Amino acid sequence: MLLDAKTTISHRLQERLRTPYLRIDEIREDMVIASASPRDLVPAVRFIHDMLGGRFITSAGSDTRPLTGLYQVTQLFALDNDKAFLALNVEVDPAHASIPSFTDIIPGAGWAEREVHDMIGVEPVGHPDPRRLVLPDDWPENVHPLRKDFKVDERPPAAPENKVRINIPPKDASVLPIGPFFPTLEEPVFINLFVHGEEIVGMDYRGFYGHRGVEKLADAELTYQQVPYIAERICGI
Amino acid sequence: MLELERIHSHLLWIGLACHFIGFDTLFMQAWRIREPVMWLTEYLTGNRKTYGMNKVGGVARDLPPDYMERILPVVGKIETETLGAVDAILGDSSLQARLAGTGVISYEDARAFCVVGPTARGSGVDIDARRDHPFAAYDELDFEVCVEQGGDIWARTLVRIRETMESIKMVRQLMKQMPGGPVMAEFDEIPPYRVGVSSVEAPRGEVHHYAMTGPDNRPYRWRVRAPSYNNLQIIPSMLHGQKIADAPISVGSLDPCFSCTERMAVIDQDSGEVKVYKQEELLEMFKKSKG
Repeated sequence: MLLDAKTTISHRLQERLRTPYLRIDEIREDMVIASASPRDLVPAVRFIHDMLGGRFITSAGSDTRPLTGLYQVTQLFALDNDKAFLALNVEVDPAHASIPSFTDIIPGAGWAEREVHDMIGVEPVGHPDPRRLVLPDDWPENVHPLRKDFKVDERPPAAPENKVRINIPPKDASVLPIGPFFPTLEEPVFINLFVHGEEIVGMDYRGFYGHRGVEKLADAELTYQQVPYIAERICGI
Repeated sequence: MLELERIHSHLLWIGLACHFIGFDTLFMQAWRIREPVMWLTEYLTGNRKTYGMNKVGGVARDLPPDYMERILPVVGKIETETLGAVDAILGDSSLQARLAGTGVISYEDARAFCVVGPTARGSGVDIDARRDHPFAAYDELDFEVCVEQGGDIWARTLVRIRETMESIKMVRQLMKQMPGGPVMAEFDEIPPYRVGVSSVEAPRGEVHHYAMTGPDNRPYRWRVRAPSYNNLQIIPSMLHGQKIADAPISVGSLDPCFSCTERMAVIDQDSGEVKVYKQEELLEMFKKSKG
C-alpha cells in the first residue's frame, strides 16, 4: 500500500515535470533524476524553483570523463511537499568547461557553484562573486583536485600569487579584520567586517582553511564501510 | 542515537549562546545537564562523541541488554533539569531583551539562501527532514516540527529548546516501540554507476549525501554537504545593519574573538589594494612617527 502511495506521488510529479527544458531520465519512489543541456540550465532551475517549489540543496561536480568523456554537474533539490529529491544533471564538455550561474535566482547556490569551479574546474559564468572558495591561497590555477587524473597524494607547487583578495568595501567604511585564527575557536576563519562606526554595512568571508579533502579521499581510496566512519568525523560536535 | 545527539548538541548550543552574551551561570548549568548524555553514549557505543555506529546496511552493534534501565533514568533527569534551565531562560527579561530582534533572518532570506535546521525553522520555514524525507524509523514516530516566526536569535533559541523536549519524547517512544532483530542487513555487491541522495536532520540542520557508486565495490563520487555550509552563507545578509556588539552572538557558533585582532587593515579605495599591518609593524610606525 505504502509503495502504491509513493508511486502515485512520483507519477503526479511526472505530470508536473513537463517542460521543454528538462529530460526525465529515471523516476524512483522518492527521487527523480533529470538532465538538461548547459544552455537550458537556468530556465530549468527557474522551473524547478518556481513551479515545483524545489529547495536547492547543493551542487555535486563529478569528473565522469572516464565514463562519458564529459564532466557532470548535478544540482540537487528537495521537493519537500512531494517527499522527494530531484537531481538535475548537466553534462559539460571539457573543451568549454563552463555552465551558466544561477546564483542570482537562488543566492544559496553561491558557494556550491564556486566549489564546483575549484574542485572540478567547471566555471559558473555570470557568478556575482566568482572568487576561489575552497582551495588554499597558494594553490596553482587550473589544478582541480577532484578530477580523476589528480592523484590523492599529489602536492602541486605553491603559487602564492593566487591569494584571494577581499571584496572592496562600501565607500568610507572601515575594515575590521577578524581572523584567520582565534585562540578560542577550533576552526580558522577570516572575516572582514565593513563598518560605519558601530554599524555593520557589509562583510567578506574566507573560510575552508581546514579543508581536508575528505571527498577526494573517499573517491580515490575508501571502501563503502570506511566512508560512514570518516563522514562522522567531518564535524566532531 | 541521533536524538540523544540532538539533546546534547542543543544543550551545548544553549550553553555557548549564554556564554557569548556573558551569562556564564547558565552556560555552566547547561553543560552540567548535558554531561550525562555523553556518559550514556559512551556506555552505548564506546565513545562520548563520534560514535562509529553507522554502517552501510545497518549499525555496528546492538544496544546492550540493559539499555532501558540505562537510558530512561538519564533522559528523565535531563528533562527535569532542562525544564529548570528553560524556566530560567524564558523568565529572564534581560536575556530576552538581548536576543529578541537581534540577528534577524527574514522568511524570504531564509528561503533564498536555502538555510536549514533550527536556523530555517526559527524564521518560519517549516522544513524538517525527519518529517519531509523520513529516514530510519522517523515515519513511525509522533513528534512536532518546531517552527517559530520571529526570525531572531530568540526564535532560534525557542526552536532549540522545544526540539530538546521533543527529542526526549522521541527517545521514550523509541524505547517502547523498538523491535528486536538483526542490526545489519544482508546485501550483495553494490552495482556501479548508480546514484543516491540522502537527507538526515542533524542537530544543526540537514546533512545531505550524494553518492555515485563505482566499480570495485567502491564509491565513484561522494559529495557531502553539512548544514553549516548553507547556514554560513546568510551571515552577510543577517549582519547587515547590525551593531558590532551583536555580531558574536549572531554568528553564534562562529564566535570570533574581537579583542584578538591586533592588526589594522588599510585599503586603497581606488585599486582595492589591501595592506594588513601586524602588531610589530604598527609599533614600528608609531616609533617612527614619534621619532
